[in-house]
Amino acid sequence: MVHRVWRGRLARPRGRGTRGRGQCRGRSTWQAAPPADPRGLIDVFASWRGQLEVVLVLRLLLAGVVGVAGAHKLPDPDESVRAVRAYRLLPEAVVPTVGYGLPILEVGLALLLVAGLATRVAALISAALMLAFVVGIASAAARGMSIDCGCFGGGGEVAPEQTRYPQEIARDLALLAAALVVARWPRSRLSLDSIIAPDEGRNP
Amino acid sequence: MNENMTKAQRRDATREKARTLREQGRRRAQRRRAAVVGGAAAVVLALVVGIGVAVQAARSDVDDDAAQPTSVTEAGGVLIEPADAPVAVRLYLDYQCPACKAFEEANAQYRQSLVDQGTASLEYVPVSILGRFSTTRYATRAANAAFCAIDADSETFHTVNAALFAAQPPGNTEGLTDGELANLVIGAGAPASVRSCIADGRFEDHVATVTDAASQAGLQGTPTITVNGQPVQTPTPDALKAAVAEVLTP
Repeated sequence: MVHRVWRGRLARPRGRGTRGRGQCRGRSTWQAAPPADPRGLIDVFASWRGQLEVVLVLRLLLAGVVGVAGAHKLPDPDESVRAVRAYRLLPEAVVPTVGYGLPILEVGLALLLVAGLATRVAALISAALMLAFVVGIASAAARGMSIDCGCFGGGGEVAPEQTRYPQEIARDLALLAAALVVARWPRSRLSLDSIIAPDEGRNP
Repeated sequence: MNENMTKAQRRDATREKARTLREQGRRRAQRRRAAVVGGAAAVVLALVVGIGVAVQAARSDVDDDAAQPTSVTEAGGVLIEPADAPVAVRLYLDYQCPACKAFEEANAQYRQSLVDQGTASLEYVPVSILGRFSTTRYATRAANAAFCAIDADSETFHTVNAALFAAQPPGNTEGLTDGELANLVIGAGAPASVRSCIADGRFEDHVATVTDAASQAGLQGTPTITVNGQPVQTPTPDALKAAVAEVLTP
């Protein structure tokens, strides 16, 4: 069995889907410390002592942003519908349903993430949502529209110099990354999941 | 199991194996529990969103059967004759919108001259898209007040419209109360009967419905001006003049 010593800690044997098998045969790359190789960084995170705390922070960050975004859209359902319509992407038949349902979905996801309940499911749905937002905003930018993303309520047309597409896309990409990390390593401190299934997702 | 082991070694090996099996069973049970929780959460979330859609739809003020003021146009606004004019100008306005106020004040005379010369009909559609820029939904209440005046006596709309823009409150304030709106609108020539209409918010659902219809027709912001159905790209007085001139000189 191959063990690897790094940072004075005996690394756990690798699980499936890490570095290719061929690389473990006495090559010098094997001994090299975690350079810019992203796979290496992922391994480091996977076995890192602070993982549970980092995932907790990411989980709460995601919950905070998604929850606030949903809460701002809840009071005025008609405005929410107009904000969805302003993208001119979805057929009118589904626009009202999305406008009414999106804030509820966001608040629901935020509650699950705060509680750490069904964390992986909530993170995966959040990631899908962020991807959809990025696509929507990028498409609005590409079509030369000048709208507010309506991310935190509002929405609709703004003056061309008031659009903030790059910032909005960057923010949603960062949240997408956070959601993917939480979905890959859903275990974290202070979560209901850790009471229901304390060992689920733990390294073997 | 190796024949060469001592009895004690064999016993330990058996115990170890049993321990591993127990551990595996525990892990499997936890995995199953986590999967059940994940699935249940997805189902509950879907149910909550479904119920939430119904609740938000019920909270929406958009209602095709909403009470309408008398003599409103198909778009839900008010038409200033002459109806047979060669040019039809439509203006979507929000009384909380500073750009609308600027536009209104910059070319009220020009628009009046269009009507007086029989060149163009003017259709005003008060909408409410800036309700969030007030702590009291001023945009909706002010549009309601305008519709109350239209309902009571559409001839007074011109002066009521000008008075509402003149009294436009700054963003994110309370703005005028319903009583103050009534005083303003009556002072601009509307009959005293508008007071209860304004206090009741009688046409607020009409405002929401007109706003939604305008949004479906492509309205993204205010002011939006169309000339014979074609949107004027930048809503400035000069652009309106140019668009009208273009229609008149083919």
